[in-house]
Amino acid sequence: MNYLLDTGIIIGLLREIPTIVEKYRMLPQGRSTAFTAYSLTELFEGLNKLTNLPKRDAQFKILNIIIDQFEKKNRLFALTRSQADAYSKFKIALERNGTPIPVMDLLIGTIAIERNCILLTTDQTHFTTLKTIAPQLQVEFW
Amino acid sequence: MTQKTISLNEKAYKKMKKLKKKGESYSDLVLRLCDAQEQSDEEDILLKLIGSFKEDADYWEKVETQIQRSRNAHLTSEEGE
Repeated sequence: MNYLLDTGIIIGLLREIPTIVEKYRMLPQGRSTAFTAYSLTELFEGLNKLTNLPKRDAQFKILNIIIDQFEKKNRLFALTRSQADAYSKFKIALERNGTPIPVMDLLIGTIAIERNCILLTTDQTHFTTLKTIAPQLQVEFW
Repeated sequence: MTQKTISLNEKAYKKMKKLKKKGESYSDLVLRLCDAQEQSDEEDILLKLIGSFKEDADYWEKVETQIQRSRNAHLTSEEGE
């Protein structure tokens, strides 16, 4: 079972939000987890806005440990050429439907669809909209 | 060594049979799979680092709100050509 973690799930684990931690621990054995470079940009932005420098440095180190581990396992994803093509098709379908969603959600959702991952997210609204034009999206709302 | 008997449904049995190596007992197979799972859990760095930002939980809650705001501000366009 492959899972793609949206940014809110990663932050939820690092913040130790009980509901997220509990669900994460309950994921099936033999699972594989991944996240996207797009989530990484949001995490780095959060870190770079921290004004307490020692804290920022300490959290940078933690984030880099996580990134190293996911990169080592090839579990840090960005769009490939064919996935970029799929992204554009989903975008056109959403436009024709008159139901725009955040670009970031579409990037992450496309990767989940194209890599056949179950997306774990805290954002129900937009991914539900994406599912209307891409029913193959597998998503769990935490 | 004490033996325990467990029952498997047909699907589980077929899967195990497929995974069993030549000369390996089913006990050996179960131990091998459990060891692999334990190793996999150990390698899940997020499990190890749960709560690492707990000290700044309030700050990261605000970051999450900002992320949501930023995402909502950059929507795919509403109309196609």
